[in-house]
Amino acid sequence: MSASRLMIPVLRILFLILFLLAWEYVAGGLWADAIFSRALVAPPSAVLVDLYEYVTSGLFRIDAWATLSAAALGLFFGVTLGIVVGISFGYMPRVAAFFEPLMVAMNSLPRITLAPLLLMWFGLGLTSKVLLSIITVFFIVFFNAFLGVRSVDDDLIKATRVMGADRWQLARIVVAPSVASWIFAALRTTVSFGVTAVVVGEFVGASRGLGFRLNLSAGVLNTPRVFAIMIVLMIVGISLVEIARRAEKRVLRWRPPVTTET
Amino acid sequence: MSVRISNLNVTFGKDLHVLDDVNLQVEDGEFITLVGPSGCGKSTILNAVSGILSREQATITGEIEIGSDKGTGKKRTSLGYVFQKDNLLPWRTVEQNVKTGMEIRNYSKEQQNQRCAELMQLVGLDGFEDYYPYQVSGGMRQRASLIRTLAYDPQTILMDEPFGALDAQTRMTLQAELISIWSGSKKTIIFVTHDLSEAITLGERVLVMSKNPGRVKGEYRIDLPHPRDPFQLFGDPDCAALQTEIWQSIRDEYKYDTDADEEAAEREERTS
Repeated sequence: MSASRLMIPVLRILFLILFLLAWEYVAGGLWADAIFSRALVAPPSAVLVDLYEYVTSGLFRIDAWATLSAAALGLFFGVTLGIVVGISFGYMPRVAAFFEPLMVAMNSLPRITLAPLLLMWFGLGLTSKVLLSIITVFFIVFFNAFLGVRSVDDDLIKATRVMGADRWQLARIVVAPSVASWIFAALRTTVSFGVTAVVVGEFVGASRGLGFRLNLSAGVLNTPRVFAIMIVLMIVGISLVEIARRAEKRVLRWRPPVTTET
Repeated sequence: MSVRISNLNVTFGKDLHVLDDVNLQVEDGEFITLVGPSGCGKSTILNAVSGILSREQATITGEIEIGSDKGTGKKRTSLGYVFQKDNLLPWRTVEQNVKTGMEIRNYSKEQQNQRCAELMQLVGLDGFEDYYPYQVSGGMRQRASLIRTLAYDPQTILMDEPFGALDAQTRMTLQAELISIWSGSKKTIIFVTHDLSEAITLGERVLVMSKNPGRVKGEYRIDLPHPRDPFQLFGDPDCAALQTEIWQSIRDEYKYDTDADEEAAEREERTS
């Protein structure tokens, strides 16, 4: 049992080492001539060196702060707005019906296409990134909050009403937990989309930020830096998704566990 | 509290006449059972009494009195309703579920804790306070649903096939628990079932309904001594004789089950 449980992690590490060695080899790293141009694929050794340089430089602090603060603001306002509008629409079927075509149309539009416009309207600074993030996050949360209100089990409403619950008690005891369950179930997607929106916004136009730096480095064929920033973004992503996963697991612990982990 | 239903008529939509001039009287502290084929409107009676049958879905005429509280289709205050589905809130633990009704009625924290602990013990749920509904068996969920209703002390309790989804053993155990709870508290209980032997085991009086449209067709006083033990009554000759007697008079209702009837039953279920 324990031997077979150890198997997978050990194999993973072995695979990773082999992969890095192969990468180092074809990229012409420490001991060999490059098969691919060094301008296209940077060897892991060069990436690591550059990652260290970048992270210890003042540049990193500026870039990371720009990206993370925009993502945090985007997530905060996007989630808040999504909850408020989603619940309101859930309680007002007529208003929801009126706005439905608009919401569906907006939702079908790839949100990143708004980036150039937002940039024109709000400039290269923080605002355009935050807005893009808000819009992206808003729709995910909005639809989940809306469905959370709409999909409340009618039998639970009846049973709780018979016990004497008024409108507000119903909202607190039955509707709110249902809404929360929908929102938390989508939290991982929400968080990673919120960060992605900021990075894409920075690609399109910015003067700082991880996305901006990545795009800039690619433009001048500074491949080690491109990979270094990708690693930084990966770590940011993994951390946020892990936090979201734990929050979800905690809040939704009343659900029967799902066997497939994704 | 006594319950009196006079000339109750319920029509769904334009022409689905579910209840036709139903009259019934339940004394304070009495346990009656309503039995009848599916689609006869048993549940609709309870829904009308509890007020969850809305006027948008149905045309309701007649008078429903609970104690001195008159009117139809309105919200009742001292009423409990136990459904066939346990309807526990999945995000609340067993304990939190049991306290829900008390919480709604602003019982103090101490009162909630005390009553909850007592009732959990009464039905053998102690030790399962912090479990979520999905983690316990169907029988335990239905027990929790029952004591959740008892917890806020309603004087009248409506029960709609509450043990219908349970296996035979668990059902009898819960019947026994219900009998002992009722004997100790003398609540007024209206218990709906399609199972004649359950109706006889529990009820002081069995009301038999017919369908299309639903009417109260017959009434049988059950003189089996109290407190009754469902496990002993199972196979008891007196009980069997009663069952045969009632069955003889109502078998016509169960005999034909045409597609039209089933359709009517489904429509009723969907709208109620």
